[in-house]
Amino acid sequence: MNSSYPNKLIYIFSGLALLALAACSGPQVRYGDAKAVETITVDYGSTDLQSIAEAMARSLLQTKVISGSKDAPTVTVADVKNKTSEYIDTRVITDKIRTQLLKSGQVRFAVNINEMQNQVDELKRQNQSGLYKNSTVSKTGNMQGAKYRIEGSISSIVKQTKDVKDVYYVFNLNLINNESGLLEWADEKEIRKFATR
Amino acid sequence: MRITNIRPIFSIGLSALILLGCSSPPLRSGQAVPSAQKPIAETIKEEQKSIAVTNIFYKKEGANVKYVEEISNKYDSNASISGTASNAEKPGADSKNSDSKDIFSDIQTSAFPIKFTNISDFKPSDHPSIQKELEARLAADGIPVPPPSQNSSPVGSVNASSQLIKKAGIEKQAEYGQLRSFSAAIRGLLIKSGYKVVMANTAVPAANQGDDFFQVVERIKAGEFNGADYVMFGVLGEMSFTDNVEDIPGTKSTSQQIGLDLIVDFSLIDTKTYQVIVSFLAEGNGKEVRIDGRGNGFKPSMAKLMKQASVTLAEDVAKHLADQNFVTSTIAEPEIGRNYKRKPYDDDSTTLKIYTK
Repeated sequence: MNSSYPNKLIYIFSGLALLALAACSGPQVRYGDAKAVETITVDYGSTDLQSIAEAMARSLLQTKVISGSKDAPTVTVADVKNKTSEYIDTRVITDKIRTQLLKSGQVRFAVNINEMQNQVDELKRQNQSGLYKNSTVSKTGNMQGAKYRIEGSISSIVKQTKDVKDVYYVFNLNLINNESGLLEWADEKEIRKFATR
Repeated sequence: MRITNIRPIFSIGLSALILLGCSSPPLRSGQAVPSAQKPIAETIKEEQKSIAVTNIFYKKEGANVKYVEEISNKYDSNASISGTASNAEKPGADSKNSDSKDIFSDIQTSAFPIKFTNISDFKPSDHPSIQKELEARLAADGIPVPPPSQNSSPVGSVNASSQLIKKAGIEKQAEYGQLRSFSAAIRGLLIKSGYKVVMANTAVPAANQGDDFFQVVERIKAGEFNGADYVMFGVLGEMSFTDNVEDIPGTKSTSQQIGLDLIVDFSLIDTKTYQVIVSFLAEGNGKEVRIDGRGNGFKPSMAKLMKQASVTLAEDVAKHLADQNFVTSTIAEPEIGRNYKRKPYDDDSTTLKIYTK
């Protein structure tokens, strides 16, 4: 019995040391696949963003207005309205679609209304400060107007019971001819997610 | 054997002759080739024919409201002398917005600083010009001229009566001339395209010429275009200056836009037949934009506006000439500003991913 007492003390101290070590160490950081499917919650997530952007860009590039045009049509991005109850940064969706369309080389984008202040400030700096060589100045009055604009909305229907939560998202995107006001293209992407306990 | 060989050869030869007979006749040299789509100016180029481009003719019309007060004097020697005592003019009024009755009533309410003459106070000696003319007429009639008197009463031998006449109306004015700064770009465009351009004589408006100033055929007959085969004649339709301030959406800034717009009616005339080859209305615009310009005392450069208007006018002229098949469309459609489709970016193939269920 006497010999077992020091052994017990050793075990206790060892356990305490392990606990102290565990407490001192930080969180483990790892890189993951940005394109990997994320299913942590049913809320709007990165996989939804990627799937919406990819589907819309692919559909838009197949439309006759763009694929059948000799020149690259100029497009601007208007608002995508968030009609869901969640906070969704819709600018990220449109930026992602715009990036994919630009990479295709089939479309050219004019600055949108949110980027206008920077554009105007830059033109004012170059044209009105008197600091720049005239031949190198980007002149006021030569901005290109977009022939088309992209606008849309994202909506959701959420149903929840004690054990199940079902979320349905629908993302609509439209391509509108600015001059004629005609809707040249429209498509939607539906996403259904549900979580069970 | 021989008969069987000759028959197929004979039949082939006969069918070939029939086919030749059915085919359309070949074009011979000297025969006109149908050239509906061939630009006229290509022929002009080949034949080294010349084009004269006139300055842009204009007519500026205006109307002034005019008021004249006239005193008519009568003497017993039957001499009648008239003199304008005073007149009033109201310039800048537009004939469309004015009415002669209103103008008259306006004048009567002393809107104009007019001195009305009392007829009974009239003395010829107070008006040296009238007195001089009176003396000359009396001398011509053999009547002795009375010496000038300081007395306010009329001279005994001359009985004078005066009549005050007031006239009001609209005086129309028309100014004819040429704008010299807008044709150079058009001439340059034609020269650059390889056409022979000759200088036209400057047209100077003559007195009382009226709208005959625009008689280009008369000028052609008078040889004012130095033997040019074609004359491009432009008449200014309208010219306007604009100055507007607008908010720029999405920013806190405003843009002040100062513009010079002109519309010119062009005709291209064959100097031999006087046939109008091409006719169109071209537009030129000069624009200066100042961000947050209003309130900063910004003054636009008229020289810049005129240059821009001239260049855009020439571009529009080229477009219309191409539309009416006078020049090749390559002059009218510069490559600048076209959005050619690009090749897709070289990127990671995983950028576009397809998500499937």
